[in-house]
This record gives sequence, structure tokens and C-alpha cells, in this order.
Amino acid sequence: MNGARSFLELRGVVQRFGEVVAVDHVDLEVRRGEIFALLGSSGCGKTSLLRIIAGLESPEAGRVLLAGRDISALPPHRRPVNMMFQSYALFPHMTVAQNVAFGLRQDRLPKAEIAERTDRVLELVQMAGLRDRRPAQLSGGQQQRVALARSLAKEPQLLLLDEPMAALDRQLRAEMQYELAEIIRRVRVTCIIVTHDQEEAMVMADRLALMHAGRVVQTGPPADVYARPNSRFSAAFLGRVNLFEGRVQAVAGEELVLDLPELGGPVRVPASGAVSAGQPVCLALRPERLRLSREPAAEADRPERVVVEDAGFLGSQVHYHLRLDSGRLVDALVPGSSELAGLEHGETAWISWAPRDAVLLAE
Amino acid sequence: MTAFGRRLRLLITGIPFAWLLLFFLLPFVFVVKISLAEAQIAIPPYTALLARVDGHWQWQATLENYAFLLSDRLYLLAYLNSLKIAALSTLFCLLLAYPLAWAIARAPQPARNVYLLLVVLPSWTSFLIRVYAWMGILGSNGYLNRLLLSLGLVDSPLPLLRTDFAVYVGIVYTYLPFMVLPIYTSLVRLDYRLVEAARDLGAPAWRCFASIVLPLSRAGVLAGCLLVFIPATGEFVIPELLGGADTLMIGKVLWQEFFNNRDWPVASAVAILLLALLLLPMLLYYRQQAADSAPGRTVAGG
Repeated sequence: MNGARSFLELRGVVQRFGEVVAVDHVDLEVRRGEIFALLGSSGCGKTSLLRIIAGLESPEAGRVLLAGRDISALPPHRRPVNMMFQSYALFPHMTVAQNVAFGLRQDRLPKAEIAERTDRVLELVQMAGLRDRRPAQLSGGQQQRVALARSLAKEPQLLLLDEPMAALDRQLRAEMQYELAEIIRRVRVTCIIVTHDQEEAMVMADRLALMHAGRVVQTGPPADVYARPNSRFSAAFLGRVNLFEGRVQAVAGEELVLDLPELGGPVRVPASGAVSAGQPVCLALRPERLRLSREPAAEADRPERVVVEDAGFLGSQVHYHLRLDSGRLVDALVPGSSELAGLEHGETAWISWAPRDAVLLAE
Repeated sequence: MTAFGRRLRLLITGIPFAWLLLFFLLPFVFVVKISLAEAQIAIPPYTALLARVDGHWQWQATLENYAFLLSDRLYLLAYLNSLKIAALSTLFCLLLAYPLAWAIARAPQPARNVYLLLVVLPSWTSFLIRVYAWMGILGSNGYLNRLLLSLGLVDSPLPLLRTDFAVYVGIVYTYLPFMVLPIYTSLVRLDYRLVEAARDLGAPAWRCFASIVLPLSRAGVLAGCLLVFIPATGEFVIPELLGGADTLMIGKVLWQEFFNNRDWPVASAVAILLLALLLLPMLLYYRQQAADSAPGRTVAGG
């Protein structure tokens, strides 16, 4: 156990639906006050995990601990946990203010206190002016604010957000990611957000857990998981990546010599972890970490000759598909302002990379 | 809109309109007309409203039949008793139908259709036969009494048939599907995440029901209550076959006036008053519906 730092703790949680294992022995620790993202594609078990934390589903095995207390056996209405549902689940027959006050009314607080706290939380999400509207009279973005206000009104110890941006259009989504995270940080609530959108997770979360097939693949701050993926799955899920399959040719002190058929000749990388000669490995290179040049770089950098296959102009960046001599296509990103932004189809160029930018994946 | 489109629309809306005019409004007008006449032993058994007296056309409408209905306590009691039996039957139907509809609406899909089929299945046999079946069950030598006797719960057969109890059983049994189906329809459309959200916000199960499920299925409950209450009030067959001689219901009175007394004008007045009585809950229902779809509850654009 991670001592005082872990606020929510899941231990060996298993959930099955018939034959399908939705959650497969998950252990997880969320720290007090952080925004934690459960990231994964649909069906990876992240929503089941969230519902288990909320108490809406009871796991087959495992325990849920909140601030050291085992809440596994508590029904949802007894847990100091509130959830903002996907597409919000606002009560259609109640006004905005009644929706927000609903949770407070369940606690039988004095009327004046309910009114005061409802006002405060509506103010927080800037919805005080629309307090007497019904959900059907609100736009998607306004509904989201009301849903957030409703789940914050009871000042839960833990806030759960289930795909909070899924019902918004693209432009609003990008704006709300920052605003939502800002509001959550302002009220200092510990928050778990479920999303399939890596950008959303990276923008909003302090730490994230990448999930696949009911298991947690990797946990850590977004920048760390991005820079140091621990598996092919992590590397490919979070951002674009070029993966080169091969094997370890030799271990030479601090360096490994890799045989990667798609890159000509042996490749040297700093030794990392326990790998032995002959072991199959995979080298991951982020497209923006590839250095592109018109002339070959110094021999020490092992430049590779490439031919430009096509170029996509993304505004701030240019996305190239480059063909290596081996016939393998690689992705490369260069800043749109760079003098290399103008390469055209068929032109020859060179790529190289710093050894520290290459990540060796043993799995 | 083109002239052709206008004409097409007129035709499409015109057909049901003409249908209602011909088969509902016109007979209704006849009944009103008869209720304003006097009974006589002739064919037809009532006087004309316009008669030629001493070479002049004379208007002979009278409200005497209505005055008679209001002056005789029998009719008043029959109306009140019908309303009571219909109201209680509606309540029993509601109490039975709501949990049933909930269970069906929450059942997994293939089973759900089977359950729905089971609800409507009895109405595939003749209504009359099903009422007769209840006579076989409730009679003093019926299945129920024989069961009670063989279990030793009673010493002599209970008088079940020809009582108000049997009338309630018959009405609740017959009209249950009309209560189940509209409630099911509103419950199956209910987004279950709303219930989960209420649970999550601290509501125990019964408060979820009272403040989320029930208000959101109100339209189905109201529709079901009307579908049971209105025909049950005028019910004739069930009190006639299952009820006792003292079971006073307006449908029975109506029948007796028409066929036993051959007093068509009084019978017509009974029918018109019944209609007026039933118009009240209908009007309340429509007001409710209008309030539900008024601005503020509709889906507003933007």
C-alpha cells in the first residue's frame, strides 16, 4: 500500500458479464486531489470500473477503498462519490435548479442551505441565469455544466466523469476540456475521468491509467506515459509512433546493438532493463522526434535515406509519409514554420534521431 | 403548397373526419333527440320532437326524462355506485399493473416480448367466454371454493359469485392489459440512467421511484387509468353475469330501461348523463396533456 498518498484504492477488482471479462484483476491507486484518467478504447472495461467505484455495479471480486475505508459493500446512495453520467442523465421533469438541488434534498438539509449551495454551485459553472430552465431547453454545453454542478453540489470526496465530452461537438469539446479541469481544480475534488480520447486524457489529467482488455497496461503522468511507453499498446495508443520490430544482436556494456531489418544495419541504443542477446524487441520512435534534413547528418547519428511519399499540411505541423530504402513507410512531423515543411513527393531526404529519443520495448 | 397538395390533404384528413361524423356524432345526435322525447307504445317507442298539432308544427322537446333521473334516488345511486366500482377497480388495476409493467420493461429483450404477449394473450379469446370462466371459478361449486374446502380453510362454500367482489375481480381481470400496456410504454422509454443518477445522488430506492420513475411515467398511468375507468363505469356484461341482484351499476340500469321497460327516452337520458359524467375525467386528462406539452416542457431547439 502506498501509505497516505493513495486516496482511492482498487484491489484485485474483477467483473465479468457472462463470458466476457470486463475488468480483469485491476489494482489502482488514485491520489488525493488529482485528476486521474482511465483511458482506453470502447470495451476495455474503463466504464465498468467507474460504475464499480460509484457502486452501480458490484464486482465479482476485489475491494474498493476510499480514504482507507472499505466501501465495497455500500450501495451507491451511501457512497461519498458522485458521478457525471455520459450524456448527463439530467432529470427532464425538473428545472436546472431542481436538478442541482436533488442530491442536497436527499440529505434533508435545511431549505436555506440547499438554496445557498445550489446558487453557489450554479454560479461556479456560470449557469445561475438559466436556473429555471428545463434540460430540454439547454444546449449540449449548458447541459454539461448543469450535470457538473449537480455532481459537485454534494461536495463529494470523489467525482467521477463518464466520457464528459462525448455529447459535445468538436470545437466545444476542446474549450470545455480546459474549463472543466479548471473548475475541478478550483473545488479541489479528487476526480476520475473515463475517456477514449487520448487528447482529452492528456489535457485534463494529472495521471492516467491506460486500459486494454480489462487490464491496466500502464499508469503515470501523461507526459511520462507518452515519452516512456512500456508496451507496443501504450506506444501506439497515446499519439503516433513508428515501431520497428527486430531482435537484440549483442549487449555491449552500456549499449545494445539491435538488428532491425527495416532499418539498414545495426542500431545502437542505451541499454535499458533486463534484455539479453537474441531477445525479440521493438524500437519505438515518435514522428516528431525524427530529425529530417536535406543532407545526411553526421555518420555517428546513423542517417537513413528516405523518399517523400506524401505530405499533409496540418497548419502548425506538416505530416510526412517517408519511404525507407527497405520499403517501410515511416511517419514524421516537422513544424509548419520549418524550412523542411515544403518537401514534395519524390524528393530525397534524410532522417536521424537521438538515441535517447528511441524507446526500446521488450514486450 | 400546391392546389393538388391542399386537396390531397383535405381528402386524407377528411376521411376519418367523415367517419367520426357519420358513426359517432350522428348516432349521438339521435340519442340526444330520443332523450328529449316521451315514451309511447308504438314503433318507434318514442314521440317525435316536431309534431303537427291542430294544423301547426309544434316543438315537443322535454327535459322531463332528465328531471325524472335526478328525482329518483335509484339512478343517482346507480351512477355513484358505478363510479365507485370503476374507481376502485382502476386503483386495483394500477396497483397490479405498475409492478408488472416495470418488471416487463426491465426484462431482457427476448423475454420482454414473450411477457407482453402473455399480457394480451387472454384477449384473443372471447370476452364473454372469459367472464363465464370466472363464473366457473367463483361459483359455490367452483374451482376456488373446492380448493378452499379441500384445504380445510372453509367449512362451507363461500358466496363469491353474484357479489360485488366478483364484479371487482371481473373488471380488474378484464381491464388489466389496458393498464399494463400504456404504463409499460412509458416505463420502457424511461432512461434507466436517470434512476442510477438519482441513486448516485443519494436517493434510496423508494425515493428514486417517487421522484423520478413515477413522475416520468405519469402519462402512461393517466392513459391507463382512463382506459380502465371509462369503460368500467358503463360496464354491463360483468355486473350482469358476475354481480348479484343488488349490484347496482348504470350499465345494467341502461339495459333494463331499453329492453325490459322499453323506455327509450329515459334510457337515452341515462346514456347522455353517463357521457357527460365521463367527459369530466377526459377533460382533466386533456388539460394535463396540454400542460405537459406547453412551452417549458417541450424540446426547444438550440
